[in-house]
Amino acid sequence: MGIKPTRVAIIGGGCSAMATAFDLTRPELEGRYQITIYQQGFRLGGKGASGRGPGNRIEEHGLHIFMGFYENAFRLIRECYRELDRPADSRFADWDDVFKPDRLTGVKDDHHDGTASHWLTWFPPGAGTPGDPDAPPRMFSVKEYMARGFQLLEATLLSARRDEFLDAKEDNPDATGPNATPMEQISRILRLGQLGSIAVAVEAVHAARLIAESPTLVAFPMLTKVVDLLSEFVTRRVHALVSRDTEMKRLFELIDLTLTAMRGSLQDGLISHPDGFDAISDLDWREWLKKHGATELTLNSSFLDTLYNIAFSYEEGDMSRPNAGAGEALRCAVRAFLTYRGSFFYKMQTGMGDAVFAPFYEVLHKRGVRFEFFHRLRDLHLSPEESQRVPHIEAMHFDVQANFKSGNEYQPLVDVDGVPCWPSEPLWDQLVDGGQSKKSGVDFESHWDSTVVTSLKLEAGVDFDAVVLAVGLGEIPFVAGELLERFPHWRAMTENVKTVATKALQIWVSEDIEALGWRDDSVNLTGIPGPFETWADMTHLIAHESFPVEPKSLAYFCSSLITPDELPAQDDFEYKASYESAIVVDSQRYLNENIATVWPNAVDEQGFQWHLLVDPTGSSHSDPESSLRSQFVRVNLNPTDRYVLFTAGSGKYRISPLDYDVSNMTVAGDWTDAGLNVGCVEAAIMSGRVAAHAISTYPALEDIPGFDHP
Amino acid sequence: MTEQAWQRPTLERTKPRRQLAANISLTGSRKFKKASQTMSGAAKGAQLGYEVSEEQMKEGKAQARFHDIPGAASDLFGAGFSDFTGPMRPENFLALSERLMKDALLWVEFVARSVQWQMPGKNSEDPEGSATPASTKNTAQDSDGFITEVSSLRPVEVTFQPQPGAESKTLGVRDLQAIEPDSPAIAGIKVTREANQWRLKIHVSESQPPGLYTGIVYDAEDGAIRGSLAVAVQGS
Repeated sequence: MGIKPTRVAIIGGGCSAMATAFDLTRPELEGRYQITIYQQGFRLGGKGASGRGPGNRIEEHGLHIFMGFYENAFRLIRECYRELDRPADSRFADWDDVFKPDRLTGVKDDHHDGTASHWLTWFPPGAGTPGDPDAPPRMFSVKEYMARGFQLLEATLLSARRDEFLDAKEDNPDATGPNATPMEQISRILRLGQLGSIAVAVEAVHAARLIAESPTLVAFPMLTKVVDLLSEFVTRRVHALVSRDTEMKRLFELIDLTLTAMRGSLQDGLISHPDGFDAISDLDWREWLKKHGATELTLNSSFLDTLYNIAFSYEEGDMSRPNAGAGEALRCAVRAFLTYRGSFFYKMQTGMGDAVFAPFYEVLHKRGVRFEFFHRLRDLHLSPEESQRVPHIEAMHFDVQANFKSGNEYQPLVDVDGVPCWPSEPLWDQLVDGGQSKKSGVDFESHWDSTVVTSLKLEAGVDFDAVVLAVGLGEIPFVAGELLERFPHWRAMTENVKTVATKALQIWVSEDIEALGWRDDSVNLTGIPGPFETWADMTHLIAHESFPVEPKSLAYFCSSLITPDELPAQDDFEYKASYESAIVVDSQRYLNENIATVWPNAVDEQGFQWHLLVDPTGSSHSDPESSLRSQFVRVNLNPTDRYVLFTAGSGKYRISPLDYDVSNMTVAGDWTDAGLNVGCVEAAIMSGRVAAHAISTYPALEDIPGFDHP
Repeated sequence: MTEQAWQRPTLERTKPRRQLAANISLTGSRKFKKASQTMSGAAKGAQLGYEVSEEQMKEGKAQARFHDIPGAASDLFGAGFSDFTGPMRPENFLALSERLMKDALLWVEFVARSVQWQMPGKNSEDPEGSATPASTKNTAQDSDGFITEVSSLRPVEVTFQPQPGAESKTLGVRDLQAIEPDSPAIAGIKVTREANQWRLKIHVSESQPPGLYTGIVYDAEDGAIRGSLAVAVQGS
């Protein structure tokens, strides 16, 4: 050995930072990189941070659901759990104890007569499991996409008749189970005397799938004709029935959307375009679909709205201003719908902090990574401008927010029934003057908090060699001013890649969802009337919390939050408080006026029955506001907490971890250009891995699934 | 700081490889080459087409049997397609099946063309293709029992792949369609029987645009597919 390790300072502790640190400290790199993670406040996680509050309740930034196409995220998490090596009998011993398949999802569906219902879709299991180390994911090729696209279309067509499907399954499981051929399934439906015209669509799709699955299908220009034929067929046969049949309408929208995407890809030459789907990123997703002939019905469908909702794709949080780059949307959609393995969705069985960041913390700590909590980056200082020379980070300045009583290392985790978890507040008793700080209401994670016990200057060559800037995008203008001044493309990035504030509501209820009036299984549902458009049933988490009186259901709601892009000054302490008050009022209105769309029994003529809410301390409340304040509401206004959008035309402004603007620094986060380019865990993890590659050439880019993707 | 700061390593590349075609060749062409060792492009295309068609027919027949439609199992192919939009009823089923059969034909043509068109060296290396230099008339013994006769002023290449047993049937050939939608079809192909030989007469007009034209050889009695015919018209 004897090689002096490269000292890498990672700024930020979210998903991308964990991925960079994990890849750079792999045993096969033999200790070449010595990592220190600098984290503002008391916990890791970034937008995925969670904490345990009163009654050990899980308090999240928002709703986090993993998707079956998160190959990089699952790969690292699985490796992390393997290395963690928890006792086999512990509650969350392995990754699959924590991530459970969740196949039912839904969207509120508006009907022509002004009524609405919920369209629930059951996604069939995909082969394998995400991040499977022994079976790499399938190649991302059009051939695969076409074949899987048709396969999924068949499944979706059938799921439109889910009730009948399930009924028949009980009658004859062999003919309708996962092993039944599509024809067996169709035969069964025909036998019930239904789906006449849908069967035609299924047959046509099935025939197309047979073609797409043939081993030599590569003459893609001809697919335009096939897709056109299918579209014409669907339009003629199914569109005529839409006004009479809700199921037909849903099918029509889905088929039209799928076929339009296929047709558009072919017509725009994405097959051979060197930029892949990025070639259409200057157009909004809906606009692009319209350009390629999607019907008005499809363009205004709830299903399409859903694709915007789940990515908070609304400028400044305003639902009347949807905006999602077509290239990124298409890439994400094909990966989500056509490459998932195992389940379409995975739900964590505990908070994201406990499921993801506590294990990463423990493993990285064991590998020798140092964690410097309560360190807020103040600025990055560049070396002087010289021609012919790429500048480097000369120094970094931090605000140290707290000192620790025992030695110099903060122990951030708490034990909840044998599971290491993050608390919702700092562990005050470890901090010097912690009691005083608690009393004064210090919020170390707030952008508007100015607590500083000391300043710290780190110098290149003395304290660090390399820097990974892994803070949230919103934070960049505040910590990288010199870079914005020196590099116009950095400024352009901060001006064009937008973020949006989000809001979250979690309520614990004394009745189960059936008693509340929900007539189906546990679900994730979006498109419901705001101000929280998305509801996920998270009742399974109650078993891992410890309320004095156990609730029977737990619901998470989330949505984007309308705020201007411009942030107020750092001394505007009223800004956050005003939104926090407003969210309580909004939540009250939501429960009174709109919750009945999913929980009709939760309301009476006065509105929401507030006594249904369960206080984590066991207290009871007489008025709605105090009752609601016993629940968990959150606004994500901090620049680093804001969700990253992929608005039309913004993709080209993203900075890649592979860019070489600064010789000893790279960047990481879901705001970078790292393959997927949408705001999600997978994009952040991918970016972190690409950043590790930029520092060490490891892992190879080819080993980052999805990086080389059209 | 006089010491030189640590620098990131030089990377082999700094962008994703987004071009889809690169990915496709890794899967499609590798398998294809293996297949082409024993089978011409058109033959492989036809086989795939048959598989699709047969699958459709099999399923259609199964449906017909299921619904107890007299004659449907044996006579799905030939009848015309009548429009319908109503719910599934036995009287509609035949129309559905016919429609599917028509679709299947399109698939067959599509696959045959697709495979042929993208085949490496398609204009010169196909062992079963008969390259015809520019001439007014050229006759080639393509397969047992079959002769193709081409009249053309342009260089053309003909690939005819009959199914086993096709020679004993009454055959017809559909017009050969081009991949390019604007190109006119090669129509009027004559199929005649002389002694024990089938003769396919193909006329390619001088104005026929260069390109690949493919079509289906079918059994005139029951409409079943009996082979495929492809003509590659080269530029002058």
